[in-house]
Order: sequence, then structure tokens, then C-alpha cells
Amino acid sequence: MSYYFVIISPADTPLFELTFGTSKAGGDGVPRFRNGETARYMNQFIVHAALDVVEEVQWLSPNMWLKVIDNYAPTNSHISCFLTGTNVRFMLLHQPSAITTASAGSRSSTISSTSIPQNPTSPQTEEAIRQFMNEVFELWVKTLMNPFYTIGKPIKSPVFRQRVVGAGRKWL
Amino acid sequence: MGYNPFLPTAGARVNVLCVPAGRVAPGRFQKLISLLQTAAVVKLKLEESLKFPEDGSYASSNEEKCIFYDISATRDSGRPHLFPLETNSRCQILLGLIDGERVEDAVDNTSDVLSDLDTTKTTFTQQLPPHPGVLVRRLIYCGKERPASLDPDILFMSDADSTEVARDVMTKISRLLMSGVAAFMEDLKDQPISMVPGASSQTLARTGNTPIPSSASPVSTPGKSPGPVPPSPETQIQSDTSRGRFKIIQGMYHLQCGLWSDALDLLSDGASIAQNGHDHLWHGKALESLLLCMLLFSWTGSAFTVPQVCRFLPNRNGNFQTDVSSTAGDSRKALARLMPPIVETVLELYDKVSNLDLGGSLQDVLRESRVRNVNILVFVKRSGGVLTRDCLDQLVRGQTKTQLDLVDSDGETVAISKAGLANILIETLQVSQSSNDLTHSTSMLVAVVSSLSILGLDRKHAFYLKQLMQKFISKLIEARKVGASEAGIHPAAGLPPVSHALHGIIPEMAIGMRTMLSLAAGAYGVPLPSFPPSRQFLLADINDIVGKLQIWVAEHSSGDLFLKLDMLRTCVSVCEALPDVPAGVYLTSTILRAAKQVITLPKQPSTTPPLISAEEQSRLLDNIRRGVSAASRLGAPGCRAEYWDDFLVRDVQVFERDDSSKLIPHKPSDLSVRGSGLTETIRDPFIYNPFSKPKSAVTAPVLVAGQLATFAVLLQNPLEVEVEVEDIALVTKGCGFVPSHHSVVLGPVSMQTFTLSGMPTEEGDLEVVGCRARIRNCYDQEFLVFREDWHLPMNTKQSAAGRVRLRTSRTADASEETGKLISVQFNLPTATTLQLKVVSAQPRIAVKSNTLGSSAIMLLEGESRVFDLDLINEGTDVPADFILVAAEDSVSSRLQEALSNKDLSAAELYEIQNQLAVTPAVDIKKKGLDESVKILEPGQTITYEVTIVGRPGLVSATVQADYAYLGSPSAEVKGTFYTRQVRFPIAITVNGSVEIPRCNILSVHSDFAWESGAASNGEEDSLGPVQTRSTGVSKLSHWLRTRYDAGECCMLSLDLRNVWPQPLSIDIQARKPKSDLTLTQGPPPEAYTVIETLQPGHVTRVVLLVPLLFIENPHAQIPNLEMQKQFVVATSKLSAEAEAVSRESFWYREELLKCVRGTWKEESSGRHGEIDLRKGIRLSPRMVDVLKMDHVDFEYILEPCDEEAEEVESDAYGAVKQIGKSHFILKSERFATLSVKVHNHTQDTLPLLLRLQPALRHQPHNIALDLSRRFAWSGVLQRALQPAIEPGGTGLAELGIIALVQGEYEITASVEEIKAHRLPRAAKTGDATGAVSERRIWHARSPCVIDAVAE
Repeated sequence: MSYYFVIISPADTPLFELTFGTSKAGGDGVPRFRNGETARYMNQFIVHAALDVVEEVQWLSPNMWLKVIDNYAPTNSHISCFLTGTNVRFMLLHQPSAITTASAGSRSSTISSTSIPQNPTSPQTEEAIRQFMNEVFELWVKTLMNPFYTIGKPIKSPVFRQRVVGAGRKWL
Repeated sequence: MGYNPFLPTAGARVNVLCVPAGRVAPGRFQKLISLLQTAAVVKLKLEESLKFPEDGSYASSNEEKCIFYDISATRDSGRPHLFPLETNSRCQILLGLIDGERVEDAVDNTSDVLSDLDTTKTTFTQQLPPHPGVLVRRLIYCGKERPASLDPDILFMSDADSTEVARDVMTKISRLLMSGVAAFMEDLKDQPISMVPGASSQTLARTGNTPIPSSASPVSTPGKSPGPVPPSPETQIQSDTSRGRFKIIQGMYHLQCGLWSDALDLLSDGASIAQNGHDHLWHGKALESLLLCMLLFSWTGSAFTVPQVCRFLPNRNGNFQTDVSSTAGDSRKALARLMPPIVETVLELYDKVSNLDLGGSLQDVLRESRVRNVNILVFVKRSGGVLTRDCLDQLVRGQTKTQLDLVDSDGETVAISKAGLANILIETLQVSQSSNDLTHSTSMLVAVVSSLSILGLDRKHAFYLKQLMQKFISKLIEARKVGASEAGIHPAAGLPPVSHALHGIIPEMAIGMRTMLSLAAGAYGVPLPSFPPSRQFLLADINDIVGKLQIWVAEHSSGDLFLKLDMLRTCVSVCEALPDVPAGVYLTSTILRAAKQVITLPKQPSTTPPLISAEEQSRLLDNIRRGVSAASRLGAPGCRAEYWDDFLVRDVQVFERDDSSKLIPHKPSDLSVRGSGLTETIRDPFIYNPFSKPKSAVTAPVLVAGQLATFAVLLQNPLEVEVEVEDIALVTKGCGFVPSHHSVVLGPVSMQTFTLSGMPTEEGDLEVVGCRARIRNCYDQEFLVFREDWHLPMNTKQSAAGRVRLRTSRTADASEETGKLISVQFNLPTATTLQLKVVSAQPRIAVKSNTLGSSAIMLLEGESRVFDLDLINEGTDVPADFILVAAEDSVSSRLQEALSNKDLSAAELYEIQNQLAVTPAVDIKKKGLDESVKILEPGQTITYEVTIVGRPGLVSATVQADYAYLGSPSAEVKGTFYTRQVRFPIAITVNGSVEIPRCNILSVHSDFAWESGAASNGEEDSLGPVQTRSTGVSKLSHWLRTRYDAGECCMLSLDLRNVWPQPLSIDIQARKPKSDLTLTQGPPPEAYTVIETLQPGHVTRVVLLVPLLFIENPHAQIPNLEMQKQFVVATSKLSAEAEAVSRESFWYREELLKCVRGTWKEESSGRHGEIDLRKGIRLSPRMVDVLKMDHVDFEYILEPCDEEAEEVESDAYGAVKQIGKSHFILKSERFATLSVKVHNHTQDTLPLLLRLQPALRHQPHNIALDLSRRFAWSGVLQRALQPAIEPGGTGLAELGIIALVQGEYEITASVEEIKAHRLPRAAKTGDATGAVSERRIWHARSPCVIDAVAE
């Protein structure tokens, strides 16, 4: 599974972007998106389009964790969202890798039905993403406390990035 | 517009196609169509006569019902045509428009017209072969008047541009439609109707789950006119299914014809039959039409009964138990509740047949239907999810204007989920990608995009809009390749030239495309303003700039800039594929503009590069270059880019090259220092000279008409590529100015200063507004000057929810929308201008000295140097009529500085002022110029004589000349005028010559070497100089002895030191104070001179004999040479006594300095100069005492009495012998007369009391006055001197005395004023010392000493 994680401000400006691959089931943490070269922009566009859904869904649930809110069928991408109190949105685009499904065969099919890197909609995956989001939220709150950080500006802290990468490795 | 399958009410419309019959001009054709379109909705009420001819029962039309015509000239032949499932996807009414005017013009007589019309009619029938579903075919003759014998088949439409005419025609057509429908129904009746037209029976058979009755029923391929002629064998065996389908078709036609209640009945019947027969496709179609029918009922406001079939929908909770409603409101409520389930049911039913693929086009049509059905809900959602009257109106009429603010309380809420609708749409869209028909997926994309937009899902809308754009690019390029190969050109050979035929079409197409592009850009939050027309050059307009800045702020304050840039790139690609060069170039420029992270580059370098890489920037510039060069070939000549940085010019300053050309402003009052002549030198150092000091405040620079002025212009380039400015010149307002043109290259990410020049042509006010620049491939553009840095304000508090809608409007209500554009408040940048004054041509004067070799000189203290200075008017045509010469030197500036010290005592102040005023270091005199010369003509010269005196501390001196051409007498100069200044600096080194480390004043005792009697008649009364050194003391004493006034002298002793390493000979003179006025002119007639040679480093003491000085009022105020001060308040904090002492010292010193004068000379080099005695001579109170001479002087004369006179004569050693000036030897017991002479030195007549007091010498007071047996006198000791003593006169008092015994006596004398003396200025000055008004007493300096000796 490949992930694209982005923190989006209430003004729709991306504050933090990170792409990474799964580290579970022998994954090497390198993203392998299906759309290859255009992945970076496509992911951004897909996530941006999903914001519309966030705006609708956020009024329906009291939770900050909104689960999978949108998908983009052509690349089999799923988008999960976590909403903070200031309407900053943590969006995670997760895309199961095409290669595994193509070459895995029957042996791994039983594994992939539940494992995080294979099945983007399984409860296990959802739980893992929830944990990831919670951890990032904690990190994000710490970043906000930093007097040198201006709210609404991109987060440039390398420590933050490193820790988000760590959280990704831990949970996803 | 043609048939729009995505319009919610598409099923209820009658498709009318207009084609030109005969020759019709395109414009006229369009006009006729739009005329017909005005009557597109025909009210049935007006047509009560309309009835189906064969069946009167249907005509229950007293309700208000309408037929909707979809009149257009376009025919979408590519669309799959599934007749009779879709009755109106192709034209149902075919109208041929005949241009009556044209016909009449072309042919003269009526018969020809008719024949012509016949031909037209034939061609009309032949050219357009009938296809199933065409119900009416008619020609319409459009002319001024109906030709007399017009074929009755041809309808006539008057040319008059009124709705009435069109309505009339449409009514006729409606009538024809009715009959057409009836005829068609008759044909179709009792015929089996296949599920899907055009599909083969084999495929039908494979769909097992769809039970089709009479499964072997062949396809009813319609082939004949006017309707499909069903195959005859099936006529009898029409099944239930076919009957149901027939009812549905009939219902659809009735719906189109406005007979809604009939349609409702027929459709519900048909639907229930289809439901029972599991005929899902037709069931869905029937429900869809039923919904439409109910919508129309609801729209007209009439009540209707919800059909049973809708109340019990499959797979729904059967809670739609709404009873038969009698009122319109109830029925609307029912509709509102029914709408979502009906739509869902329809979609489900269509889903059930989704794996049917009969010939490929069925699914396309079904997908269209899905979108259409969803659109019904989308329209409702747009109205806030409330089914209102307005909402219905929009639905039915198909209007797409948004009226979000209109909330009609009179509506019924419809439960719709936005995301749910979006999901259905997107799913449908994704499925449509698999369609065989290429246009289908594109049109689906368009439909979905527009539906998403209506839903308010802007970001999803944007996403798919971008996909649409990308699709466009590939398709357009493909189309171009195809076109190129058709034209026989290699596609890579460049863009094909535009033919004349395309000229008319491309602009319209481009405008449509441009609207779409700006919509697409706006979807991602790039508010693109409308595309500007091609212009020659762009004027600088602050509103325009602010507008662009607002866009930039909008782009940068919210949203993802990378997405925006990417969207813009896509737009550029579309423009390139079109090709629409102007829009492409404009958009490229917009990308560059948006990529800037800072608006104004900060003065210090920072790290905010543009958001796009340098390679891309240069690529974009290259794009612009290619676009501009190709523009003229592609029909857009003169098209260029807009420059992307409005803040190009950051600063404009006048570049001042040298001091001599700088102009200094002056007020007219400054001219008061000027005399009548042409030139003037400033002599009085205390009068403020407005020309002497450079103004400290920064003054606005001044230009001179006719002289090239240079400006320093600061340009910025925020991009990482070089910007070539092909031509840049200053833009000015005000008086005439001819800018010169330059061409510069701006380095990447830099602020660079360039020099631009220009020449003002006339005098007046000049305002430099900015620059006009032409950057390569950009429009000629004016740039304002923005000096201040501009930053995006930091928005500390962000709104947590809600999104800023960034979209410039593309419609007329632009102002309204742009007002909402900016939610971010920011300070507007302010353009600065450079205000300049241009003055008339000014002369240019140079200064030089012929006599002074170098501008550095060495002087000894006191030495002076004289040289000539020439002022030459170097100009060729402008004379100078104002020249003012002044000097500046380091000494006087220091002294001036010292003067500003308020703590100085009056004496010190005078000292400084004296140095400034009396002995200036630099002195300038005019030389040999006629006073009458008023103007220094070009080429003329004035010469000045400059004297520089060596003074300690003199390091530099400057002679400066201010000059101007005023053109009028100074009294007439109004307003500020300007002068130029030339300076002639001289560096000076001053070395010390003679110093006076010490001075003293010693009294000369009057009895010194006193010789009796004969003292006054010595022969050797030499007045010449006395060499003290050579003659010695004896000679001095001798000389003193010979002087009758020796008692009125004292000695000035000066220690002189030579600090110059060469021996100096000095010459110091002292004279009587009387001749002080001629002090400077030559040696005084009567003077004591000391001549001495001083060896280097040695201190030599010289003694000078100086006269005692008399000063009448030594306590007078110390004068202030600075006459500006009119009111002098004593600020001294000294006591009255101390003040008196200092004043006394001051006045005596001044007097003394008038009497002495010294010069030195270096024999070896011939240098000579003055000795600064003023510096060396300081008087202490004791010295003043010695020096001063009292107002009243006493002289004693002791003579023996008259009777003893002969005795005295005979006896040289008589009774009295004078041994000193006031020392007498008197023989005891001899009478003598003491005469006391009182000299009055003052200027007043003094009435005095004289008091004489004899006493014993050297005795204590009580003994001293005990004289009764020792000394006797005759007369009174105290007496008034009568008459009062005249100024300079003498009073005499005599007293007879006799010493009775030997001894030493003294008689002291004193005088007292009889009347109190009033000091003349005492009251006025408020002076501490002068305020004392009392009778003054003078005592004799020495008493008369008498030694009484024995006989």
C-alpha cells in the first residue's frame, strides 16, 4: 500500500505533505503509486476533490475521526480523514499496490483479505489509520504549541516530519 | 441548443429542428430561429380549439398547460437514436425556413417566386429524408408579406419582429403536431414494440431475466415515413407487454403535447403493466415520465392524483399512502416526498438492465437518463433542498441561474444527500469511460461536471473539470493532426495558417473556450479576470494593479497553490492546442505572476524563490516568445504578453553628478544680502548668510531646462530568469520632458539600479510617475513606482469552517462578484512619484586662480598671503546676474561654534567676535571691476583679491561663489529661486612664529632719577627709538628724566618666544593712544619702538614704555559686535564688584592694545607678519591699577611765601626744595604756600570739594593727626574749588603752611563731587555697576610729602 498524507488548513492550503509506503508485511516504506510520474499531482488533486465530501460528512458525525470518506476508483485510492477542532484536516490517501494483487496469487489472497497493506477497507486497516491519525494529531498539537510556528503556515519542522514518518512506519 | 439529454425535463420537450430551405444568410437564419424561440412555450389554454380530431374526449383542456418546444438548428446525428424509447432525441418537427426577402430580391415576378418556392420545396423533401419520429415537416416562408399564391402547405411568418407572429406560427405548428401524433399513434397501435429498438432478437433472447413476450418478435426497424411501419405479421399478436409499452409511448407523446392528465393516466397504466411483466426498462421509463408529468402539474399549480403505481414502489417501504389530493399544495407535498424514491427506483430499474448491451448504445442512453434523473434532484438541491415554486420553474424551464439567497418558505423539503448524488454521478461517469462512443464519455463528463457544480461540490467539480481539460488537449491535438494530414501538411511543420473562412468563427469559439478556461481556473481558486483584448500598450492604473494584486492575494491566501498552477498549466496547454495564442500567452503570464512568492523583493536578499523551477520559468518565457512570434500568422497580430510584475520599478531618484551643477533653493528674501551690483562679498560675519551653509535638510532636486538630467531607477526581477527590457524610458507629468530610451537586461532575482536620462524642455513642475517599459515579447507597459515593500498581511485568525469562494464572474454582474472576491484585508500599495522642479536655464561659472600655483599654502602665524581668484562664466548663452562670494574657513567656523556657547562672559564673547569680525582669516576684495556691470556675460571674467592670514587653527579655507540667472531685479523675484555654487578650496598649514608667554605692566616711579628744577629743559629730548639693550638702564633713566610727562608712563614687559626654527626680527611699537584711528596705516608719528632679533626657541623679554591710559567710564557695558541682539539682558552671574573688575580690565586692555603693535620678519626668507599681541596681553587687576589714570589728577607745588621769594632766588637752596614729583624739603619755621592743582581729565565740568589733610608720616593715626605744635596752616582744609573745573581744565587751591618742627609730614588730598554724579546710561542698561549713583571721591595717588628740615 502506498500512502499520501497531507494536512490541510481551513483555507485549503496544504501545510504538510508526506508520501510513504507500507512497512507492514515486509514493505520497504517506499511508495509505489499506480499513476507513476503524475502521482504527486494526481494525489493532490484527488485529496483536494475529497474535501467536498469532508465538508458534508463533518456535520454528520461528532467524531474527529471520519474514517474513509471518499475513493477514487480509477486508481483504487481511498481517502480517510481526521478533523481537528480548528477544521484542519488530516487527509490520508491510501492505495493498495497493484503489483501484489496482480502477482500474489491464491496463496496470499487469504492474507491480503485482512492485512493492512493489502486491503484498504478492512477493519484492521481502519484501526491502524485511526491510531496513526491520533498519533499525528498529538504531534501536530505539539507543533502548534511551538511559539515559532505561525498558524496557517506550512510546517517545516524536520522533527515533525521525522515523527510522522515514524508513526507511519509504526502503524501502516 | 438542441436536445439536451441531461436536462431534467428533456422528456417533456418537443424537438424542433430548423433547417434553411433555399438560400438564407446565416445571420438571418439565426435571427429567424431566435424569433421562433421566443414562442417556444405554447400555452394550451389559448388553443382550446385544439383537439385530437378523432377523439374529443381527450380535450379536457381548460387547465393551463403548455407545450415546450426545443427549437434549434443543430442536429446531433452522432447520438444513438432509440426510437421509440426516446421519442424526442431526434427532431420531431422539421421546419424549413425560406428567406422571403431573398426570394423576392432574386426574382422579380410572382410566378418566378412560386416556381422558386416549388423547387425549394422539392429539394427540402428530397434532401432531408424522413426518419422515424418526425411528426411534422413544414416549410415556413418568412417575408414581409405573404405572396399571393403561396402553397397552402407553406406556413407564412411575417418579418415583423414580434412575439405575436412567432406565437401564431407555433400555434399552427402545435395543431399540426397534434394531428401528427394522432396519426402516428394510429400507426403504432396494435403493433409489437420491442424492448430496445435497433437490437437484434438474438441478444434479446440472451437476457433471460427479462421476460419478453413473444420473444421472437422481430425488431421494429422504422424505415418509412412518417412513422415506423411495423411489420404486418405481428399486428395481431400484440402482447400485454407491447400494449403496456404502447401506452407508455402514447403517454410520452401526450406529455409532450401538453395533455398531462391523459399522459398521467396512460403512463401509470403502462407502468403497472411493465411492472407486472418485469419489463424493467420500460417501467423505469414510465416512472421517469410520470415524475416529469407530476412535476409539470406541480409547476402549473394544479392538483393531481398520485398514481397508484408510484405509491407502491418496488423495494420501498410502502408509506407513500398519500391519498388522492385535491389541492395543489398537497400534491406538491406528495411530490416532494415521492421524488427521491422515484428517482432511486428509476435508477435501480435501469441498473437491472445494465448488463444489456444491445448494439452498444443502449447503455449510453441509460447513463444519460441516470444523469438526467439525478439532475432533477440536483436542481432541487440547488434551491436548498426545498421544492419551491421557483425551483419548479427552474426545473421546467431548464434555467440554470442560481438564486441561492431566495428562500421561499412555501416549499416542501426534499431529503437529498449531496454526496450520494455525487457518488451516483461519478459512478455513472466512470462506467461511461468504457463506452464505445468517444463523444459520449466526453458529454457525460461535461454533464457530470456541470451537475457537480450545481450541487456546490466545487472541488469535485474542479477535479473533473480538469479531467475534461486534459481530455480536450489530447482530442484537440489529435484533431489538428487529422486536419493537418487532410490539408497535406505535416503536423510538426507548425501551426497552419488561418484561412479567411476561419476568421469569422474562431473569435466566437475562442470566447467560449476562454470562458470555460477561466471557469476551470476559477474552480481551483485562480480568479482569472476576463481575457483582455489585444492592446497597443498598457497604461498604468493603480486600480488595475490593485485588482491584480487582489487576485494574487486571493491565490496565495487560500487553497493549494501547486494545484492552481497545475490547473493554469493545463489551461495553457488547451490554449496551445486550440490554438488560441492571445489566451495562451495571457495565461502563461498569469502563471508567472502567480508563481511569485513575494510581490516586492525585499532590499536585502531573501530566500523566497518562485514556486516553479527556473527551468520551467525559462520554458514559459520561451512559450511566450513562440506564441508571440506565431501570433501574427494565427490571426492575432500585435498580440503580446502582459508583463507579470507590476512592481517592476521600485525607485526613481535624481542622480546628481557633481556639486557644481547642484541647484540650491533660496527664498526671495535671501536676496536681501545682495547689494545693487552684480557681485557682492559678504563682510559681516554676524549677518546670516543664506548662501554660505549647505542646507542640512534634503531638498527636492531641481532640474535645469535644456540640460540632460540623469535618474537612478531601481528595477526588480522576482523571477530566476533574465528579463530583457528592450526599451525603457521615464514617464513624467507636468512640464515638457524628453526621456531618452534605454535598453537593459535584468538579472535573475535581483534589484538593479539603472541610469535613465531625459531632458526637461521647459520650466515648471515635473512629476516622474514611473517608467514605460517594453519587456521582450510583452506589451509596452507603464509601471508606477512602488518604493515601499509590500507584504501579504499575516492572517492570524482563520475562519475555521467555510471556504472562500474564489471565482470571478464571467457574466454581467461582475462588480457584485468581485466585491466578494477578497476576504483578506490588506493595505493597498501606494505608488510614489518623484516631484521635481524645473528651472530656466542657468549659467555655469568656473573658478580658478592664476596667481596661486597650488591650492595648498603654508603660512606662519600672522603672515598673510594675497592671490587673485577669477570667476569665469563658462556658459555659451546664459549670463549670470547674481553672484555672491563668501569665504569659509576652519577658524571662523570654530569661532562661530564657540559663539553659540551661552556661558561665555561678555569679555570672552567680545574677544571671539573681534577675531571674527576684525581679523578674519580670509578676506575677499573685488578687484578692478566696474560697479555698473550688472551681468556677467558668457565668457566674461571677474577677479577677486583674496587675502589669507595665518591664524592658529587655520587648516582649510574655501572661497565660494553662489550664482544664478534671475532674469529680473532682485526686488521682483518671487518664489523660490535657485543658485549654483562653485567652491575654491585651499588647504593651509599654519606654523607658529612668535609667542608671548607672559606679560606684565610695571609702574615707573615718578621720582625715579628725579633731578631738580631743570628737568624740563633738557636738550636731548629724542623722540626716536631707543635701543634698550644697547644703551642700558642709565639711558632709559636719562630719557625718562628728560620727559616732561614721564610720570604718565608705565612699562609693558613682554616675554617673547620664537617658535619658528629661524631667527626672527621683531619690531614692537607703542604710541600715544590719541592716534588710534591711524593704527593700521604706517608707523605712527610718535612711538616707542623695540627692535629685537629672536633666536629660535629663546625667550626674550622686551620692555616698552606705554602711556598711562585714561578711560572715563571703565565700567561701561562690554559691547557686543553682533548687532542682531537688540535687547541685552545681563546674564552674568558675577557679583557687581567682580563684574566691575572684569569690565575695567576689558576696557584698559582694549585701550592698551590700540597703542601697541608688533611685526616680525624672517630676514632670510623675507616672510613677515604681525605679532598677535591680543593673544599675548592679558591684564590682571593689579596691572590695570598701574596702567590707569584717574579722572582727577593732583599736582602739588610748594613754594616759599612771596616775601621770601628773593631769598629763594638768591639762595639756590631756599626754603623749599623739590626732590620728587610730590616730595619737598621745607625748612622748618618757614612759611610756604602749598598749591594743589586738580586736573580734570573727564569730559564733564566737575564742581569739587577739596579736602587736604596734613599728617605726620609713619605714625599711627592718633599720633599722626596731633599736629598742633608741629605743623600749622592758614586757611581751611576743606573747601570748594571755585569755579567748577572745566573738562581738561585745572583748579587751583592754595594753602599756607609752616612746619613748626622738623619732621616728616604728608598732606593727603582728596576731592569729592559737590553734586552726585548721574551716570548717563545707568538706568538704561540696568547695569549692576552703573546703578550706583553717589558722589564720587578721588584721592590723590600720592600725598604731598614734606620733609621739614632744620634751617
